[in-house]
Amino acid sequence: MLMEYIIQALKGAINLIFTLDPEVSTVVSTSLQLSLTSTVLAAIIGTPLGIMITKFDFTGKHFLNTILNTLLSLPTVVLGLLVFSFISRRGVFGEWGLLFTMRGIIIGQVLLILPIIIALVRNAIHDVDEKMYKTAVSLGATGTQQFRLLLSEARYGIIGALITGFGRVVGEVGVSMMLGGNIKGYTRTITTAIAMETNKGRFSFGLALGIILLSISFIINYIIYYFQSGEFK
Amino acid sequence: MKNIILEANNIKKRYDKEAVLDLDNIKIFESAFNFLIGPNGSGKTTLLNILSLVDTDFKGEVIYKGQPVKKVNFDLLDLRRNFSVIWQNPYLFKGSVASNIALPLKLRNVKEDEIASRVENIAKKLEITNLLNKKSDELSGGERQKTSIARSLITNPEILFIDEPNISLDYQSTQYFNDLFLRLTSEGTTILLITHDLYQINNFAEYITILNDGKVVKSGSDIELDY
Amino acid sequence: MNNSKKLIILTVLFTLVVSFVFTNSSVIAQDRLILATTTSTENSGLLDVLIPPFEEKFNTRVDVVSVGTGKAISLAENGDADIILVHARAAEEAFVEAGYGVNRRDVMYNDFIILGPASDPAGISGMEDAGSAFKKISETSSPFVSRGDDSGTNKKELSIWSGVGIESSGNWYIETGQGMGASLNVANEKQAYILADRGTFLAYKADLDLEILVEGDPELFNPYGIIPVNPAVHNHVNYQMAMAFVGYITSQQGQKIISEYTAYGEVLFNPSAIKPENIE
Repeated sequence: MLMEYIIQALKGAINLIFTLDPEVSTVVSTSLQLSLTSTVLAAIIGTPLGIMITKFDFTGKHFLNTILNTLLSLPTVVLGLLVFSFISRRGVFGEWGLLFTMRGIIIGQVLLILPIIIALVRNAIHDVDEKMYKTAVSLGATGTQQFRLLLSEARYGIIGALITGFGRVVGEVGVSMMLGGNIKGYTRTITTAIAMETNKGRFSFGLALGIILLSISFIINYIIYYFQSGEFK
Repeated sequence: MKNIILEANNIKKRYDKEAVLDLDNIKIFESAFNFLIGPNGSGKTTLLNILSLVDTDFKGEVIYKGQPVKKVNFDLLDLRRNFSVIWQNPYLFKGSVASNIALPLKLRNVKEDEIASRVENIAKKLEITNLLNKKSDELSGGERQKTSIARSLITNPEILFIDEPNISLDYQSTQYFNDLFLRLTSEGTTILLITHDLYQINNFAEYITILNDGKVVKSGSDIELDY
Repeated sequence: MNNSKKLIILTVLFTLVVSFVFTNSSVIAQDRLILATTTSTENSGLLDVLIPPFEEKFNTRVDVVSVGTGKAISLAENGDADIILVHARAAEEAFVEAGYGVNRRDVMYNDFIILGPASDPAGISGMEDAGSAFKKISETSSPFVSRGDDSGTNKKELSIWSGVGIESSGNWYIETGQGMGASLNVANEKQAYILADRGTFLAYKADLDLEILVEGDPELFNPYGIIPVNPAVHNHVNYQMAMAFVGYITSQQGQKIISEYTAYGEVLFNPSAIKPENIE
């Protein structure tokens, strides 16, 4: 019956897209809002941190790098549980009313992809030739200009880091489910919807949603590559 | 007798607890072809980086036109923008040759159209107009060196620091650049050149500083070398 | 970078900031009620019909968080929900007893059914007593699928086993740890017996090769209770709106909607706050 599931799923996906099914549209828009916001925030926080880890020497650097690498394997459900314990009413930040809101999800997702972004940015910066820095200084670049030159030279690696972060976050379900509650019309994302439908036994509908998710991811990646195409090797 | 434009006193530099430089006095003369020579590992490049103010991690004093240089960002920036450095195996930024050459002008917020014409001029002067649209990672060693030279000259630097440029260049280009550097000094540019090339040393050097093991061995204007 | 790229980036960032601001629910001038309930309740589709009139009348957004019974109650105990709608009588009573819930009302009931393969190896078809049917299944070691997830259905199933003094374990007893739909699929695959709520069964009947073998035993009735979280324990809960919801769901309007809700051609729920004959 596997082929049937897949064919049904494909038909289902096309149907949902072309009829602009309102529930699916809501769920897609929620997923996009969340993933894009989380990725941008994690990028803003994580990129400078990734640069600092590469550039500065401090005791425990080795240890910190190892921890970062370990966090790449963090299961989303575990992180969801951790953050849940903080933002539930019983938790330290309970007063802030973050549970079952989009903000709660964003906090969890940012924490989820920060290690990824920091680690990959660290790698990208590390790959920039040492000579770049001296050259920039001798050319008369100010501190800010040096920073921008560094970002520019490392841009493929950095963009790769952001794409990876986005991919991780748009396809995750553990954090969204735990912190968002899969509330219809509000915090239900493509992934939590898939989990719910699968739980109900509606596999081909779940698969259809999955196909839609992958299509969106494909489109976004394509757009990004298009913008780099002038200089992309 | 030409003026001293740049002088350095009591320069000491350590690298991992080892003394790399321990100098008493270094002089660089204005509008002159200054040479810095010595065996490999004697600290020439390290000294060049200090004199050009790229490296500020040292003890001692650098004096520019009689004024001690303060290791303060504003002052350093001003002076760095008056100097240019050409290194061995230069680093070129991602993008075209033209964008690399234009970079120092962009950093100084020069207007777009002025940048374009100046890039064109310097490219013509150095005969690399055909390279302008090539990507920086598609160049041969010699082409990279020429691009780096164009990038360093486009700002009309007061002092030009050059670290063994001949390595990647063929004989013709070496000749060409010897002429170019001589012309520059006659037009007023100060040059400090690190080189092993005996021909250059014996024919062009106006003032030579010899380094060995991080110390000045000899310096003067009438040194003849024959090793 | 050139100007058009800058513009696009700025637009994207602007959109993000705007959407982030708007994800702050306090920007939207609306009240909010967090209702924790079970997955089977939400999956039945009843809430899609029952809630909108309430939302409109009281200008409130009802956020339905559907999880397992255990978690729904735990959310309420923590104050993460304002009100719960569950079907686990013993747990509900403990909840109120401990002071977490107040003003509990009966809302409705649906029923469970024992499903199994047409071949009926344990011979339970048509039996009137659920406990005896379970006994026969255990005695014949016929495959039986349990949700094993502390849900309302699971609790009911376990209470039937303990009612006839059987500890359900062995190779024939399969625990899925999953929801009703998924567990039904497993039972279907293995052609096993399973206790299910009628609503979910109706939803998947078309895809299942299982039949209703036992139904109607009052022990299989599944009563639902609605319980607001006690504001004395959690002073931030939207108690007023929770009470409004209790009022609504036990009123003529709410009870009527419940009694008329059909799925797959059958009525799923029976109102219990107002006797059917008294509903207008």
